Amino acid sequence: MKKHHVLYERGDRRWTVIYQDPDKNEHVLDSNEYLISVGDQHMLLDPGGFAIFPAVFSTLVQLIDPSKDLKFVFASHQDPDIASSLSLWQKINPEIKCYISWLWKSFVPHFGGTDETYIAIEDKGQILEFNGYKLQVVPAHHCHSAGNFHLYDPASKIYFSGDVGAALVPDNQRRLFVEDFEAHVPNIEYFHRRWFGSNAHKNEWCDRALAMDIELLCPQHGAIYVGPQVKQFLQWFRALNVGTTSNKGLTV
Amino acid sequence: MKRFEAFYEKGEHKWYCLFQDKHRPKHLIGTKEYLIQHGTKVMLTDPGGTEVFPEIISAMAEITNLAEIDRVFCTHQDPDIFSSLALWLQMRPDLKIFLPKIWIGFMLHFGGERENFELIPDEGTLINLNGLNLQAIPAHFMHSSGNFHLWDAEAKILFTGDTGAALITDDADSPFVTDFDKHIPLIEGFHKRWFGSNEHKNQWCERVAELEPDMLCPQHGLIYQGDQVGRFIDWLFELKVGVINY
Repeated sequence: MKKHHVLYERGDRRWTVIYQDPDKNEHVLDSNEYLISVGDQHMLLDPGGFAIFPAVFSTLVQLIDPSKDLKFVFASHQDPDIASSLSLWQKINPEIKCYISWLWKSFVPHFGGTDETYIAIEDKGQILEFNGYKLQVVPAHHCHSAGNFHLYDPASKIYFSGDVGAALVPDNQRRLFVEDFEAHVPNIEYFHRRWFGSNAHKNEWCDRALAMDIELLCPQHGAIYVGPQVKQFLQWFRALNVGTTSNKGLTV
Repeated sequence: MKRFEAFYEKGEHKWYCLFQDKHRPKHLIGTKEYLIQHGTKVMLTDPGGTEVFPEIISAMAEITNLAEIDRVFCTHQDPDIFSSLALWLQMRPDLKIFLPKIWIGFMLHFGGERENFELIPDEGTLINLNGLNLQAIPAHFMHSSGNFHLWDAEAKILFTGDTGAALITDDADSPFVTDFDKHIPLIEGFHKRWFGSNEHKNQWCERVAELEPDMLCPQHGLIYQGDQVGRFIDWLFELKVGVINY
C-alpha cells in the first residue's frame, strides 16, 4: 500500500497525492498518483501501470469508494506507467472515462477499454468541467510524448506536470517535496536531457508555464516543487539543452 | 487469425509478415508483426497489445512451433508495441525481450521482471539470431525518445517501427505499397504530427540511405520496396515535422 497526503483542501475541493510504495520492486519506476476530489466525485491523474495497480488501489479505497465515485481518469500521455492499469479500473467501474490526447486514441485501446472509454483531447487543450469546477488542460506536446497534456487548477494553483519535472532517484532517497532545488538538479538533469528531444517544443512550454501562477508543480515521478522552486525549475529547464542523443551512430 | 506471408526466403532465413486482421475492432490502430526466422530460432518484432494477442498467436502457431519464438524486439514503449507482455510471459517465462534501455522502469509497469529484458544502449547493438547478425539502429525521437529499428544486412530489410507508418482504417489485402504517390496522403499527417525533431529525423535519413535497404517494413501501414525505399527516405528528409496547428 502506498502513502497518501492531502496537498490542498478548501470547501468541497481537495487534491491528494498517493506516493511511495515501500514494497515496490526496485526496478519498477516509482510514480505519484494525484486524486482531484470535488464533492463526492473524483478524478485520478496518471493512475499507473498494470503492475502497480494493487498498491494504488489499496490506498485509494482508504480514501474513497472507487466503484461509485471515481468518474474520470486523466492520462497525460500513452506510456506504460501512465494508464495501462485502465482495464482493471474498468472492472471496478465500467462507466469510467479516460481523457487522453487524440493522437493516442487508437493506440491505448491495445491495453484495454472500449471506444467509449476514451475521450480525445484536441491539440490546443481544453477547459475540463468537473462537477461544477473548471480545470485547464495545458498542451505539452513533445515534452516528451508527441501528444501530451498537463492539468492546471486555477483555484488551488496546482499544476500537474506529468513527466516534466520528473526525478529518477533510488527508492531510499525518495522525497515528497523538493527540499533544496540546487541539490535536486542531479536527480532531474539526465532524465530531461535524454527523454526530451526538441528544444523548440520544450521552450514553448516553458514560456507558457512561466506566464502562469503556479504554487505547486506536481510531476508523476519524483518530488513536488513548492513556491519559488517552481520558477527555479522552469528557468533551469528553459536553459537546458535537450535531445543530445544522436541517430548518426556508428555502425556497430 | 491474421493473414501472413513469407516475403523473404533464402534457405533457412525467412521474414514473415502478419498483416490483415478481419476481427480487429475499428477503434484499434492496425498493426503488422514480423517474424524473422533463422533455422530453428525466431524473433518477433513489436508483438502488439493484449487486445490483438489471440489473433497473433493463432497465426504464429500456423507458421512455426511457438517454442521456437524465444525473443522479441521492441522498438519502443507504446501500448500497441508490447502491452501483451504479461500474456507472453505466461506462455514463455524465459522469453528474452530486447528493449531500449531508457524504458525498463516504465515497461515493468506492464509486468515482467528485470531478468526478462536485454537492454539496448543508445548507440544500438548487434543481436545474434542463431548465427544471423541483426543490428539495432538508433531512431530516437522518431517518435519515441528511446527507439530502435532492426536491420538485417543479409536480407537488406529494415524493420522501421513507426517510421513509414500509414494510418489506414481497413487492412489491405496486400502488405506492400503499390503506388508511392497515392500513399503519401496516408503517411503525411502521421509523420508531421507524431515526430517532433527535424534534426533527429534527418540524421536517421542520412544514415539509413547509406544502408541501401531493399525493403522498409513499418509496424503500421504498408511495406516499401525497390525504388519506393529511396523515395520514402527523400520524402521524409524534406518533410518538416513537429508542426502543431493550435
